[in-house]
Amino acid sequence: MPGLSFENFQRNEYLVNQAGFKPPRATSTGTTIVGCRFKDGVVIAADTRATTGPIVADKNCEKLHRISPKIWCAGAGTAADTEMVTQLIQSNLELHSMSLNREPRVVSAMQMLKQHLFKYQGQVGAYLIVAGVDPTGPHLFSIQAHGSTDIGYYMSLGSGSLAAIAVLERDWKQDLSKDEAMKLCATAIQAGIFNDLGSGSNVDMCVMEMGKDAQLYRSFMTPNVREKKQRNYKFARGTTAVLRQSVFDIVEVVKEEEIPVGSSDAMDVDH
Amino acid sequence: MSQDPSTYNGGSAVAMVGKDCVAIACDLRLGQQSLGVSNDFEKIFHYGHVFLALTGLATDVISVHENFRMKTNLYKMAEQREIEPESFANLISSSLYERRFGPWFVGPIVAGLNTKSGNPFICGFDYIGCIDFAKDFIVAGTASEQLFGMCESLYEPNLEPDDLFETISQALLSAVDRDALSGWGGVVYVITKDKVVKRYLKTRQD
Amino acid sequence: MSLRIVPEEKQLTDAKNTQFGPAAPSAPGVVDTLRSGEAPLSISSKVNNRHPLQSRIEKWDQTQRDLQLETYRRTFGVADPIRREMELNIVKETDFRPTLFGFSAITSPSLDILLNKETTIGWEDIYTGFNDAKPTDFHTEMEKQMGI
Repeated sequence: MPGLSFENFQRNEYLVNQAGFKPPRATSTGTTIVGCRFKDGVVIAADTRATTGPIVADKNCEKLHRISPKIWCAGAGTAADTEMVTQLIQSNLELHSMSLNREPRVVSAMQMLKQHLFKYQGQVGAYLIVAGVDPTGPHLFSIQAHGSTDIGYYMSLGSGSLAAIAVLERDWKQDLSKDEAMKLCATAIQAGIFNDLGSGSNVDMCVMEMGKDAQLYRSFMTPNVREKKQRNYKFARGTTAVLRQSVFDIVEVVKEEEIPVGSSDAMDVDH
Repeated sequence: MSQDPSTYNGGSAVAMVGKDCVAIACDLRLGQQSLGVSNDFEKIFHYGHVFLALTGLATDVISVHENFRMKTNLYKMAEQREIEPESFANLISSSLYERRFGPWFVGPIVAGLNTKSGNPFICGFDYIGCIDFAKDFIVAGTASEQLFGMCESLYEPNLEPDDLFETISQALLSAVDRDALSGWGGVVYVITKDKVVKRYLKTRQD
Repeated sequence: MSLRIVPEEKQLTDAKNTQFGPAAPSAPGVVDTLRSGEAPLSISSKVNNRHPLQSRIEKWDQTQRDLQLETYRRTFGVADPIRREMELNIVKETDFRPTLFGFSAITSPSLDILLNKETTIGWEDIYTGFNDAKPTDFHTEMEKQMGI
């Protein structure tokens, strides 16, 4: 069957229900993500921690996904789902805008995402903040895993959304400037980073402004840099006892030969 | 004992980046919960010059390995070259996500050097294909928590191949000694531009 | 004829013996286990304990298509959906596939255009099921060619 496969489902169901296993945990973004409109643009931001239960799986993951050059999306929920669903919609939007010969619109991205998520009844656990600029202006939407959407001037999602929304509610005002909006989003994310266990590490940010290219600020703020180790635990060579060793060569060395342009014998092969 | 299927057989793996080299290591245990079954169950496979460690449910480790063997061979025929680590990582990610609603219970790690740029590459995955790109080290398996702790303290950037071997080996040995489900031998691959060195470690057998 | 948007959550009310595998030519009432390669088949395992999403996803596209055709029938009369289905079947029967698309694209572009899917990508375009597809065996191929 084409499409997402259900092949192992019965076996896994047996393992989980009959054999008394519990299902393993997928990587979750945990996450604080926020989005905020400003005068003629929109900014989104995210923390960079990924968790598996209580374990920090990735200290600097990317939660801002590009859907089109000027439409970006921040993802919370099941990490694999947010990644894959945005990649799929990215391809769809590209194809769509090529077919229509128009710049993609943020509403199209939102509509495609919500229809896809609704089809999967919330089993695809992606909670997204979609933002971008198109010929109709700047837009900011949020999408829940079941397919419902919201429109707003400012919003937050993820396990740290409560900490972030508190900051947004306190400091947001109509017609923020670009710098104010960026600062507000960074403060909101930091509230999540420091007060929510599911969020941590750095602040990533993306600014989309009318008539300009979108700007991604990877590691916009790094409030949690690990202190450099003063000394190290380097082992002396020969510390580890080895039973036996074998040496083999499987890395093909690719040597590219340069053919000078315009030389007479270079194009002899093609007839 | 109620646990998830990926801890049924036990086993762990780790990968680290060094200076123009990468290392990938795993233990050799295959168990049935607390009963040890085999001490030569290697969890590291290679497809051309890309190395893949597969921890988790042993039946799926073998299925997934055979599946990737087919896919990388088809890739090799279509492209007339071996698959590069970055492409292989994306292949794994999309292959695992295909089974989003009926997953394989595996925790893969990829390690290798890009033949064009010579850059070291490692990454890890969750069981439905979320890639964890790391610049330092990646862990997987039942001793992953212990390995996280060991690697966080032992890891140094830019280690030479021989030093990287000591660091990854000591991290693996110390971690699996504190995990009942892992151990029973270990194997380490150190991959450099011109050779791959495979070493079997002398370990506790309990 | 309904105007459903979302597929019905419905269990099978009846199942035929040969619904889930090829029937044996000499005994059309039973599954040809030698050919299907599967162990003697339990119908209950094919029907029960499926993922709650499975039937929804499998029936999704058909439901959307039915809705569309039904709307056309009410607007333009029955001739319109009949013509569309005929065109679709003609395209399905032909095996013309431009070599430009290589081996990767499983669906034909003409089919995609008729189904209004030529500018969309779904999981079924990425996971084509190519890797799970069993090659048709010699006997099946011969029977198909000779019309046995």
